[in-house]
Amino acid sequence: MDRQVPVIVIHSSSQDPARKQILDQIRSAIIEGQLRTGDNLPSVRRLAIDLGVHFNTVAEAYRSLAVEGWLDISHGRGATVIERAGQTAPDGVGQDQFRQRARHLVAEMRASGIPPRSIREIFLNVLEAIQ
Amino acid sequence: MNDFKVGTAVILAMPLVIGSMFLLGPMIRRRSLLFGVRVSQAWTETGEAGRIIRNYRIQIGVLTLLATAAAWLGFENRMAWIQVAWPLALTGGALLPYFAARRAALPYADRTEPARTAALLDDSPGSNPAHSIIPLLLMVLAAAWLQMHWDEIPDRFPIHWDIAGRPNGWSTRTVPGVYGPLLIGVFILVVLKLSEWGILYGSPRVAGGSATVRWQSLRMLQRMGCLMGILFSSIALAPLRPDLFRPGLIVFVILFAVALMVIPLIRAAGNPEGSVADNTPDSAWKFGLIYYNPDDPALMVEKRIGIGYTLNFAHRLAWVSMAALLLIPIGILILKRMG
Repeated sequence: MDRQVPVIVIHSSSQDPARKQILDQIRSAIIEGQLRTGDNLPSVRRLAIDLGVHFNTVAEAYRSLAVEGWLDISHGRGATVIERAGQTAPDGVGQDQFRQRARHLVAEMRASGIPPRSIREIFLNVLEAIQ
Repeated sequence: MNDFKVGTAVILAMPLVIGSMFLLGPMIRRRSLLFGVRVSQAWTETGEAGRIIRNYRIQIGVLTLLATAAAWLGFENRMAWIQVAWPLALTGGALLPYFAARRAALPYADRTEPARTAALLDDSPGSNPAHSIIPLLLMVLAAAWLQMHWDEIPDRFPIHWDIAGRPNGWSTRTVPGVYGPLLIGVFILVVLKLSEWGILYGSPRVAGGSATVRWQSLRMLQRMGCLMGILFSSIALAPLRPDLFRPGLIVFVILFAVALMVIPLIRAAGNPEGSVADNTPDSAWKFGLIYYNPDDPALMVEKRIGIGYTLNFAHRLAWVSMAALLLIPIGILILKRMG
């Protein structure tokens, strides 16, 4: 079966800077299994031209992902998705920070008019995709 | 048909062909664009859009008829200044209906910020080296053949023909005179190849219909290169067999081949299923014709008018490319003087 090619979308009107949009979407694609270990990502130049952003923006996003352990950018051959070493779950304080961010996100969704049942469905769908 | 009638027909056909290009140019477009303005596909089917297109067509039609009359008058009365003036007047004049139509479409522009997409895995085929080698090989073979039969080349041979097919330009058996057409052919091949690389490596890869347009554009450039190889090899070999050389037939074959190459591209661009929204910012387009965006690292982007690609004039290589293009007429002039 043909593999579906993961696509990244950058909105210039988004509150998030382009670097964060790229970083978030590549991380999500890896976690959801759309990108697999050994996959070669487009070169910095190629992705920057496709997305209409500066080369440094893409390079910074790749570097951040490499620091997080998702990519190997050490061989000068572009970026390769690698098997990530086992991560230790954050402690109580770290988890509280994520809980706080999740609360803010849910509040934002409620403020934009999404009913609680739909929010629950969205979260469950996201979790299912990750698992 | 005598030569005079052929000449009149060609003179009358020229403004009609140019006028048709102006008439068709803005109509050959992605469904989400009208006169270089990004609009919703649904709006392009409304009566208001129809009225703007109709007005544009009427104005261009009138201009074309006036230019045709001027061309005929100039030809009949041997008035050289009219022959020079009508193409300039038609080209310059066609901009006025275009700007009027663009101004009328602007209030209906889609104001939402376009999103840009990119595939995270490269699924696009690369360039086929055969398309570069074949035309070059043809010209190398022609050069070798000319070298082998140097003594059979006449001291003086035609290199230019009038609209009735009579020779009106001559060259002599010298190195620049004999190999000039091949040098020009190689230069044109290089320009085509650079354009191909510009699209391949310097333009955004996009999804859907635009991806088809992109590959059709690349294929057209590759086929154009092969056509140029055949054309310039034939011209270069003409002095050896002038009896076989038919300039009129060559022009006809070129026009036919170009039409065959362009039609699939026009169809792909206008395909309602595949046509996707333009993802370049409106503010970067000057009059919908010139793209200038210092924040975009792309060297080339899809045109908003007609088909194909245009340069991002904020990219320094765009100006290098323009300078390189100027070398073609300069090179031809130098070779003409030397030959």
